[in-house]
Amino acid sequence: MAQAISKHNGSSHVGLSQEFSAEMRIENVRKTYGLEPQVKVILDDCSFVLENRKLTVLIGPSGCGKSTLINVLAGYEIPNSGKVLLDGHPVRGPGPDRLVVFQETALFPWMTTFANVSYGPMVRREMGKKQLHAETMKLLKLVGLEAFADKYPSQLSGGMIRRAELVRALINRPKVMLMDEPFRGLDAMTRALLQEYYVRLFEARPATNLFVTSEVEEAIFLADRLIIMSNRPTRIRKIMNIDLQRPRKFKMLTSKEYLGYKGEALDILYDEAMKAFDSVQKGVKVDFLEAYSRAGNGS
Amino acid sequence: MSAPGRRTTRGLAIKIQESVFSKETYRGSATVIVLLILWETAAQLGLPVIKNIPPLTSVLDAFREVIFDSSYWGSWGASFHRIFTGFIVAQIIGIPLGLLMGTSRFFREMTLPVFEVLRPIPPLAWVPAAAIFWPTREMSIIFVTFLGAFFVLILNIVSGARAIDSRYIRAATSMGSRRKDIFWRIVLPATLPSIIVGMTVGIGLAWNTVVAAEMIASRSGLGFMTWRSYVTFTYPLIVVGMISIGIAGYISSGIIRLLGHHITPWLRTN
Amino acid sequence: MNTVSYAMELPGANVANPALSSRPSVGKLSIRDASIIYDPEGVHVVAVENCSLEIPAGEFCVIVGPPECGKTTLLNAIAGFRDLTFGEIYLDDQLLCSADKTTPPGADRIVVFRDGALFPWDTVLDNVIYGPVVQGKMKKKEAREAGEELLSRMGLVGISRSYPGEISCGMRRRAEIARAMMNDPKVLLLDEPFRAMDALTRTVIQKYLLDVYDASNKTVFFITHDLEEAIFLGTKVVVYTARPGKVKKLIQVDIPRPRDFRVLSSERYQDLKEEVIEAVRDEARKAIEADERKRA
Repeated sequence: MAQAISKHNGSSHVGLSQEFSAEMRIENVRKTYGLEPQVKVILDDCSFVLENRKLTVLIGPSGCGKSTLINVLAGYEIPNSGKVLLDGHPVRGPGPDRLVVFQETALFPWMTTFANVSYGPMVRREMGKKQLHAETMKLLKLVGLEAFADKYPSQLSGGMIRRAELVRALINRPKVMLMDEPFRGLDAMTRALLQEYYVRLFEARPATNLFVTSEVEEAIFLADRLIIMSNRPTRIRKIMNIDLQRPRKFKMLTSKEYLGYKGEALDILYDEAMKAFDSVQKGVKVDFLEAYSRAGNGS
Repeated sequence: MSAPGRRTTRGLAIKIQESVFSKETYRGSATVIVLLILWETAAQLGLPVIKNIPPLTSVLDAFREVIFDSSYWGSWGASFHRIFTGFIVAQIIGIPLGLLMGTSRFFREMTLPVFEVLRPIPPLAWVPAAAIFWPTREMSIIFVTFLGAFFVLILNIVSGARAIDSRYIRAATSMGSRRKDIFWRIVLPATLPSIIVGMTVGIGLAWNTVVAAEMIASRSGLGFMTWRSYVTFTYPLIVVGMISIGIAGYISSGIIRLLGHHITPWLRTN
Repeated sequence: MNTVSYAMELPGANVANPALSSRPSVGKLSIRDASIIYDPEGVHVVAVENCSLEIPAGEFCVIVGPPECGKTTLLNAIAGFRDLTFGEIYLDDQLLCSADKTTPPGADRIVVFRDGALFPWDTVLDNVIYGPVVQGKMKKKEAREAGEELLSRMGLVGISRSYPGEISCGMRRRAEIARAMMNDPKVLLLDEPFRAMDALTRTVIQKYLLDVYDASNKTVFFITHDLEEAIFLGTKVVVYTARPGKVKKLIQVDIPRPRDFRVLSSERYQDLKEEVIEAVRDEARKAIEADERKRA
């Protein structure tokens, strides 16, 4: 499978042109919900760089604003203040240059796998019918779904749906891919398989990727750069550069460097957890998990 | 938890055979037969209260006669004509209106209050008003039938359209869809199941309404036939009428169900 | 190197509770040549085939395997929700189920389900004390007290009067474990109980479960697909094949208890993990391919 994917590295459709720049920056972004005085501050003076054509992984407790960050980067939500820039140009709304793979599937249930994957280019009228057909089938083959082109999402397993979603995004040759815990809820083996597909697809055509997850192993396996978020008030707790070789292999999961990264990341995450617990001991709430996951939420 | 069975025609035949001749069918049929026997016996024995109900045998006799009577089938025709006209007009007006109300907040806020005020009025309560308003009896009955199907359709479509998960809209927007793409490729298919539910419930309500409206305000149709049997003391025909109405309703729902099945291929998969 | 201690002091961890006192171990499970074949639509489905497994009393036994390999079916047979087609299962050397006999579900084998089965119409406390009260084993007042203690041991304080719908997923799971323990079962059966949770929440609940296990020494039959979880929790890890399910490999996890998160970075853990991955990977691939063939 790795070979099949890397063979396409040279072919025209997977690469946009091999040269493109796609650095995303957010500067001093503030995002709130609701009106005074019950306003909820999700992101407060948040600044962030998604390095050009690297796989950045974001890990952090639930409720720390990761999904809001994705929405802001994708253009689904406009921040109250601050700038969101792609290659220096401000982002004004959603577009095919920044595609999202959501936690819950957004494959259109009323379309076949083929229709789903070919949706983007079709609706933008970018290619002729024949060419679109060829490209769609090529991509489906890449993820082992060519036999399921005429099936509906309800006929596919969870893992297959995710694979289809990956290529539905990739056919649009996005500059930026935003992945919001896309493999959550899959069983461990399917998840490992999907991590492999994803990382190979990334390595064949490196675009700027942001991958959000709560699984430390997955995070380190995939990342070029790992960002650990803190509890509320949310800020970046640590940025780690993951210098493992590419192409990544599962064997690396037992290497000394990998274990070093894992230990370091776990340290910080549990430290954050304990801090949340401490701060809440003085307060009313006793439940540790609630505190860890929803601190300051007011819920 | 489906079994990896072989999907052959033989397998399918076995499946059908097993469901038709299953324990469930036997148990269900047994109860029906027992009830029929009880009905006949009670009527023949002249038990108090039950003796007023025509016995099964006389109903069957009446059926045998009526099948060759062209006016019986004329009643079918009259009722079906009203149902289809009222129902189809309800779909023609209701589907676009419902979609508009479901997708445009502005439009919904303008129209929903009016809608919510009119909806609680049962369609049958409209019969006298309709009779005054519409030039012919026939049109007033069709109007009332239309109301039966219309409100429930709008309700279902609006709730269905509003329930579309924003993920789909977002994904489609990101991929470069324009407004009309979003409507035709996303909103419409996503709402289709709700439309079908609205149609299915609507046809049932339409039958309810038509039968009663015929009893009140008409000289034709299955409802009228049933009522007339009561008034003219030909009681077995009452039961014939009831059973006919049941069958007619079942056929109508069946047609809608088949139609719905056909246009939502993605729901067919198990 | 690192200054953070992994040993988390969880609230309620040291509260004594009658239901959790260490007692002589009961709950030895012997599965001998068990097969479960079911027959929908006239086509034989062999869910479990000739499975033999010995689980000594008080052992935390984890079953890992690819999805749809029959592990849940086996759990259902032990719990009494399903019949065995061939073979026998013994509990403490007494016949529990065989082809001719199925012991109905009971408090001696309590199940914690994947999707949660707390009664939504009862408060958390009422849920927890349901078993003993309904069986007449305890009076309501003492059951309530014991229930509160058990809940606080699971780190749940102040929610006894809440309804399951009002608390978070993690809290619900812990309440269910408390409910199970309240019945003082011989065997605790858990079917992928933490599957739907995010990794960070899951880690803490695992710690609570281990706490409760260390204190009570119940026999635990735990199903999961998560290999990390399996090795972290289990005394013995049983690798199951793809359908029809058979025992492929037994791996003894000789990491001492009590275990904490430091374990996850230890060398022994990594070695065991590699062993389990090797054994599981083939089966997983087979299962996934079979599933795709079926769908094509």
